[in-house]
Amino acid sequence: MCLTTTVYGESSTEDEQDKNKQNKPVIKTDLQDKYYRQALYYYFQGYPAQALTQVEQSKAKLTQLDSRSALFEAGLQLSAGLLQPAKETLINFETFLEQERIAAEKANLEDDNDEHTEKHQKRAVKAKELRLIALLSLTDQYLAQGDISQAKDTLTKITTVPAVYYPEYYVLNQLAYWPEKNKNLLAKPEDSTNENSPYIQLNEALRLIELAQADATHYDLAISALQQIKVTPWHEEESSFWKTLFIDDAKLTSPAEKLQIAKLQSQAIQDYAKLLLAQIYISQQQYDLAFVELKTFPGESPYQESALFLFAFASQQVKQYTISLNLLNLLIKDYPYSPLSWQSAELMAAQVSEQQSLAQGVSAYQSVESFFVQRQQDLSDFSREFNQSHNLLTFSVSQLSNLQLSNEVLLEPAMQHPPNQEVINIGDRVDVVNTVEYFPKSVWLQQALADVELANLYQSLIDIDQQTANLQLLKDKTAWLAQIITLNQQRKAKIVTSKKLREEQGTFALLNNERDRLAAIHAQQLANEDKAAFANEVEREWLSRIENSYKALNAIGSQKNTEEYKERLARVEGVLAWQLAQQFPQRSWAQTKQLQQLNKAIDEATAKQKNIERISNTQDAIDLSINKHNQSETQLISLLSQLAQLREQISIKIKAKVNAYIEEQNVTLAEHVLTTRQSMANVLERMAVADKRLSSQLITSPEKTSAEKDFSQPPSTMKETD
Amino acid sequence: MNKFNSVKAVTTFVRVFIGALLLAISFTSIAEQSATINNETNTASDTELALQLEHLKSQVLQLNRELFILEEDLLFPASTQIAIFISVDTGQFFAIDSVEVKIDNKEVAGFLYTDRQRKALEQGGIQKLYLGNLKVGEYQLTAIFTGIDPEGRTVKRAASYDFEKDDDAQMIELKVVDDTSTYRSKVVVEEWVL
Repeated sequence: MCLTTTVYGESSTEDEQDKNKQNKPVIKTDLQDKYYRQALYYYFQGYPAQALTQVEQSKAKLTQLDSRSALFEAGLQLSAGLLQPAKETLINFETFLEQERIAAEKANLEDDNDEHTEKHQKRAVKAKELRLIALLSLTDQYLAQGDISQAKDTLTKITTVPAVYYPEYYVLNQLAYWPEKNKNLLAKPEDSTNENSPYIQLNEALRLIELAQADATHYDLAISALQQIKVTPWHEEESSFWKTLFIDDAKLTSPAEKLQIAKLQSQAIQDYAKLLLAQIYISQQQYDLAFVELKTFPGESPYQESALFLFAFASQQVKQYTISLNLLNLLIKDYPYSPLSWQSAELMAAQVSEQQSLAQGVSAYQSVESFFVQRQQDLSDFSREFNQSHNLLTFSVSQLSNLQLSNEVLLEPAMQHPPNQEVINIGDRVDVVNTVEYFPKSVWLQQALADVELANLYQSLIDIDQQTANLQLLKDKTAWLAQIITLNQQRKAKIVTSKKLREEQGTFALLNNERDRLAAIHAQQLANEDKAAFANEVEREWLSRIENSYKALNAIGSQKNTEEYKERLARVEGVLAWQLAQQFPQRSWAQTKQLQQLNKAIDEATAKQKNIERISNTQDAIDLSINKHNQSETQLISLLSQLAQLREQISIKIKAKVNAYIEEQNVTLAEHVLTTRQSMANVLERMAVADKRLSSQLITSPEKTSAEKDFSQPPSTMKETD
Repeated sequence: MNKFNSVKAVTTFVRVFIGALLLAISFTSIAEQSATINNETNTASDTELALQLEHLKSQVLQLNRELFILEEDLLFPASTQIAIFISVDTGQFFAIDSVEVKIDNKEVAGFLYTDRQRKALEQGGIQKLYLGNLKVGEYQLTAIFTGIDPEGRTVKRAASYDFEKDDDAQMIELKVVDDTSTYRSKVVVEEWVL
């Protein structure tokens, strides 16, 4: 209850405020809004996990969230990887909105105005857009997890798409129904301006390339699309708060970073288009076009490795041998573990054998063979070390600091509170959003992690460790809560004991009796207007002396003339009586007031006594807390065990996948070793033939020098062109 | 964002295709078809594991929520609970730097804001500054805000508020509000009606 408010810079008196309070009806605070904004405080600082925790706590307090908070919760759940609860919220959203509409109409009838419905309508329009964004994001996450059926199912929940979101919707449909086209794809909105999204075009070109394997005419269409993409500058659209929450990966980055990201993405799209174009030309054996296309490929591109290989291959085909040899050597040097590099090694050896001397060719093949044998050895070492590792996340970690970051992230918000502050909700520190990535030092594992499923499994492992760390925090919390419960029990026991003692001594009864006695005396004194009863100490002394004097005068009687004394005594008595009469109202009021204060004090004590009685009878509340605490402890143990089991299962799965990858690489390397040895044998055979021919020529003709000259010449087919 | 991330961004929306095509130049992958079949089986199993993990994550979140409620019930029961919140309305005339809160002249909470925290408040966030216990009775709350005005000068804004703590939880929000008529900010106290 508000008593007074003094706001500096504002003039308002207590009377005015009291008047205002009387006039204004009490309006309940919109707690949904307040709790939502508390979650926003964490979200805007870049702590989505804390924001989700806050929303969950609000949900527990408010029983149900409003549509806006529910959507916010869904967004945060998506970023935490909790797809199923997010999907449930989004699917039931229409029903949710309908419930809010009915509630708003009801509130309108009660208040007799349209304010509630208007507010609801505004929210509903926005909410539908937000639901769409959330569904798009959910589809994206299902696709990233490889769960195509869920992705398709989520897409069917979308019934309308505004123009601004159509490109994203279209791309997700392309990916979900690949390589087919979704027959139920919603029609493009009329005001669609962004129909030339580079992602749509790239996907379309890729689809055409796939179709071209059956029907080569599709290549022309693909080429035309890719040529368009590679020259089209692309700008990322501005992201709204909701779009950032649900869709964007890079959250809350600075404008400079955003600009850099946009540039890199634009460049990456164009590079990818160029690469695909070169790929098509090569598959059509138009090597000169591929060569021209890749000649201007940027050196700092993320597709550098693939471009290098294609360029080397195209160069070789257009007889630019120096370029191709340099590029092939560069690939072997820079990417020794890449399958493209292995192909390069063979191409290089073949080129040396053909273009230089057979002897140099043999030497090149020997180097290549030893290169492959070395890779096989590396792979075998990697396989042994990997299979011996117990904790997969500590195997070959290159970004240890990144993994350690998890604890810093967990603790950071809590540490920002000054030590004297009492807001220490341990719950705030529980982090369900994974901010950490595993990046191994081992190149083999780095390459294996290009497999999305394996990367997802590793991410799951990190998630499990993070959840285990969270549960450890909760375990500490339960231990702490157990102590609090014990202290509460002790406190309650003390209260009950002292209450019992007071009851035994009859303290309250004595106090009440005394109060009643005093009240009765006071009432009697007031009724009799007994002014002397309110005399102070000096006056009482005077009254006593007057009484004694009267007694003395009575004792003397007629023995002596006491008239003068009697007159003087009467005068003194009169003055005193006048003085007492003067003080009577004030003193009687003061005593009444004291009696009232005594009553108030006794009332307060009675209230406290009742409170104590309530506390001493609240065994149920403590029992409830104990029960909850015990349940939490049991659940904690069960969750920790389930997480450990899941970790084991995932680790086994990861090992199986990595071993399959190792086996695959082993097969590839073995094939390379075999083909290298076969090629080397061919060269050796050619050398033997050449030697034989030379010997026979030496026998038949003494012109030895010309034969040597022929041997060192590259074959006519491999002569470099300008 | 580094190069790797930009590739990730592109490949998120575009099917990754290039690797298979490049390899096709010199090798025909025989294992590809069987790998696809294996992948489908694996995906089903992987999805199962992902669902299990998701379920566990939800349970951890739920457990955390329950323990939070239990903690609050035990430490800050409604009959004695007082919470103080801070919010900022636009912050055009006052960039909040710190706040100090006293109850009956006794300091109960203080906070120094980082840029990120200040921006979070200016974007509409509400900070729970203090959660504590008070007996039933009358109290005076004093809040002193320090901040920077548009001219870069350090300025202070203060508010004092008398309130009576009863058996219900007490929620008080201190709002730094811009006053466009005076081009100054002021502190407005709002007591939440539960």
